[in-house]
Amino acid sequence: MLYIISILSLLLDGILTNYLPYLVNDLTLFTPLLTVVLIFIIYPFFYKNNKNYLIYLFILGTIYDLFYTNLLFFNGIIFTLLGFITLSIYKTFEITKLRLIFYIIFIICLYECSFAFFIKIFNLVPISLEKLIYKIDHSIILNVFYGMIMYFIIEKITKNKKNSKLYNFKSKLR
Amino acid sequence: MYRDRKKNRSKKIIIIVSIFILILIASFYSLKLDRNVSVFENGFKNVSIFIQKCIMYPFTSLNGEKDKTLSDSYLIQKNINSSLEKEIRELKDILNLNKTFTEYNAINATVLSRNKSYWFNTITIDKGKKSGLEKDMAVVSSYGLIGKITKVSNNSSEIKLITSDDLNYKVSVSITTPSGDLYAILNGYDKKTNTVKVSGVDKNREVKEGDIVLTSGLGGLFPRGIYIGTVSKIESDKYNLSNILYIKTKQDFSNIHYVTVLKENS
Repeated sequence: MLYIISILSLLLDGILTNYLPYLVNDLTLFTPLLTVVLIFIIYPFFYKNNKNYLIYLFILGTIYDLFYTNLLFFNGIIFTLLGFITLSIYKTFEITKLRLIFYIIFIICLYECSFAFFIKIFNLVPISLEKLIYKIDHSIILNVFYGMIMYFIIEKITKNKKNSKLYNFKSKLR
Repeated sequence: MYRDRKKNRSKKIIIIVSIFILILIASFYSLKLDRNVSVFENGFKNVSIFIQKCIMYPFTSLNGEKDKTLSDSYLIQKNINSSLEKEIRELKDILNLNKTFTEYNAINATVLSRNKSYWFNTITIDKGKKSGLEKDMAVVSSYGLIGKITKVSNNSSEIKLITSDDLNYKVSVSITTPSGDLYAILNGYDKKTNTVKVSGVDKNREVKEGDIVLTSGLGGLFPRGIYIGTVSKIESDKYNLSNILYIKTKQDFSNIHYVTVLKENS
């Protein structure tokens, strides 16, 4: 199931950017960052297996790079760093449906900010706060919606299949 | 006990600093814009391009505008006009220009994905080294210049659009005015007016709204005479030393599906 969700998100990311305005001034309000949302959503699949989770994120980020960005390992690194933050969120806070929205927004913000930070320190493209906020606020709606749907699907499937790991994990959280 | 704790702490600090340095080095490598595509990347890209082509096939084959766009584009690339061709030959001899439009072959390609790194303004096309494409080749659409190739793998290439704010990406342009051609640099994109900016234009030369902007051929990157757009607004720079022109292009940069690469005849 994990692989199906990952492949689906990766492919949807590519298809949507071809048919939604994605460049410069007129970003759509539904800018997809579906693979980035996965960083947070898929953690329950790796409960108590943090090392595998981080390795998986690095591989996912690298594949994302090879498919879409041509920045070899760059997203691999960012995904892994965001993985560490996700781990601490899961350790520290309770995951409820309402809070999930905020966590997804938080991960999107962190992703965009860290991307912008690296571009800024290597002085590749002029970046302004205004542009960064523009990029973030246009990436929220679709991704939060997608994240919520995926969360419910994962929840349902794992319940149906009585995936003990996830089931125990969630009951502990509650 | 205290020494052990201190040792552990310094170990941790060293590890964290090393990881941070490694991350910086890796990021620098991946973000290096003129980096060549590695063998590993090339191999994987072949597979990923094949997958993307398969997925995009239903969408691209349904696009009825494909043939129309390509044929329009072909006319622009070749710029064949018998009366002008003679004039071009003469001008070429006079100016000793060895790069004009007619010396280029046109290779049509389909856009596979808009690069997801918004900041770089790039797109990926389905033609690469195997089709004879190389780095720095000019890319046009039926509406004129759109960018240049920045990375090439066997079956795909990355194109940097002229709307990019990249600090190392400048295009030399000529503005056709009644008093003769005027040379300047195209750099950047104005989000508010949806125009590309040309800076460093001599204040003493008269430029009017509606004047045509073409590539100048200077610098050797782009062939001379590719249409970019028309002047839509003229403004003084902040020191009042030169003018900034805002160029309205016909191309909708958010909606590019087919492009043409100009390949120099060998």
